[in-house]
Amino acid sequence: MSPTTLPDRSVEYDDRIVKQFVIATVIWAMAAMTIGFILALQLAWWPANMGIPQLTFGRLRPVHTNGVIFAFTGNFVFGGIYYSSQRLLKTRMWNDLVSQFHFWGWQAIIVSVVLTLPMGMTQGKEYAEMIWPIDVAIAVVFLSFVLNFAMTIANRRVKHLYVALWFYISFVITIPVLHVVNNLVIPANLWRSYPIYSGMTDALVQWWYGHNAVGFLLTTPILGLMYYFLPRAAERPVYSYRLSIVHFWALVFLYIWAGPHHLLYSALPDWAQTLGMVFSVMLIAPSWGGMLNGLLTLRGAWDKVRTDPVLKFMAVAVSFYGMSTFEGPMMSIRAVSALSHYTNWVVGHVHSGALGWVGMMGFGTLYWLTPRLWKREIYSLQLATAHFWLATIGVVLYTVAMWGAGLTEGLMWRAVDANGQLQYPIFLDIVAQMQPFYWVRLLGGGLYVVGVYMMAFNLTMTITSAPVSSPEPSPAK
Amino acid sequence: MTVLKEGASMAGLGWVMGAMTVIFMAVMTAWIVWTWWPSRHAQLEAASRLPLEED
Repeated sequence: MSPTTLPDRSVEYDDRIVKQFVIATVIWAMAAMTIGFILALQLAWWPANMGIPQLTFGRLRPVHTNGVIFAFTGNFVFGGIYYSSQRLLKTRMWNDLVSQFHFWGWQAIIVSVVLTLPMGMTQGKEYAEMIWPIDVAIAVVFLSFVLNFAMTIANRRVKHLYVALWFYISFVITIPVLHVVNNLVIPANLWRSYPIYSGMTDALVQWWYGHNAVGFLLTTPILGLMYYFLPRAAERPVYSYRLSIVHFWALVFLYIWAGPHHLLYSALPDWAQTLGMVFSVMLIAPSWGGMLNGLLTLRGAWDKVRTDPVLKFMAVAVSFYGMSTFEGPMMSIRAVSALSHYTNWVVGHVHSGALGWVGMMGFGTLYWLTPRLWKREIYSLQLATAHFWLATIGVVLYTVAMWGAGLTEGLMWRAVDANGQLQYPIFLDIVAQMQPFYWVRLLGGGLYVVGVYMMAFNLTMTITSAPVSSPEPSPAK
Repeated sequence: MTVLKEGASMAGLGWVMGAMTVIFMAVMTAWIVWTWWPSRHAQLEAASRLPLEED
């Protein structure tokens, strides 16, 4: 049987839900990244917390991280999946009401996170700070999406499941499991709870969750979106479909074991630390399989990259994916981790992935989707191109500044004099050395945030005032 | 049975890990062979064009 079974009747896709997620993505991108900018300012110039407890770094930082992960990336991923799944399966989403419940439930969760975390209501677990009632809501709302997605696959009119859908399936299966297992707690009251795990077990579960949140929320669904939107934007099929199948299974198999690299030199048994390190190093192979497949898809289409901001964003995104997935495994090696752990190098690594890979893929997808969803020409190609350059320069400044900061503080922490004594025993002296790097980071992050506001303006103008387009609008045309 | 029991008593963690490595390598190799099998080429080529089909 042919992999594609053409539909015997026309399908009216539910694009209303995609539009909603697109709008939410842009709004939450501005909010989450503006908070990131404020935090960068606070690190460079501490009075920026204005003496208000709710605005101090410790309270605002989880709002920023959860905002970028669950609000910006979450909405982008959901929107992209709703758009591409319907077209790859040639069927409408199973139930529009469930889609709406998913959308509004997810936004309500984000709002509740924004309200509770600055008030100090937290579980104190990184990327899982939300208090237990919000955790329950996340599980319920996400499971509604799982049901909708699974039923849509069951109702499909194409036999073959395109590789992007496999990446989505890995996201849909793992995220609820990770979320529920890591958030098993005994509630003390509405705002406070105690984890059922203790000590090292708690740490291991936390980083099994934390690393796989990176793997299965910030990586696999974005790769799935890359496998759909990059061929669409480049108007050519993926370079090697067979490579995509092999690297998918290798990636999901290896990723789930890599979490213990967050616990090197801890009380975790040595063999478990080694296991995490080895699996992390092996991850280079499938990660680069995806990166090369993405870049080689542009083979013969590089002329389009010169003029099309969508492809510019996606090409740089895939390049940053390659760089981050080389840097990460290197940092998971014990000897390298001894220098890099707890330093700003880790912050740089995270942001080269978040800003460079996730953010750039998100922007490229938004610039591709918006004209098609609203059937209008993009308002300003020049503005989109300017956004691309601001974002690229911003990420490079950010990452390089954090590499410098991380190496500086890592080397100063471990420096000893001829007597074996710490050369810099006063911690604050080392912190003071970070100041110039923090200002450069603020500049890089600022450029990136300005770009996001330019995109919001451009897309708003596209939706509200740009001329109605031909049936297949393309920013490249 | 005696041989199996003797074998089990001798098998340390290293043996288990070695066996698992061989099994996983075999599965991976088989998976690559399945994917690159010539008769599957046309089907997968057609599948790769799914995103490019008309909406």
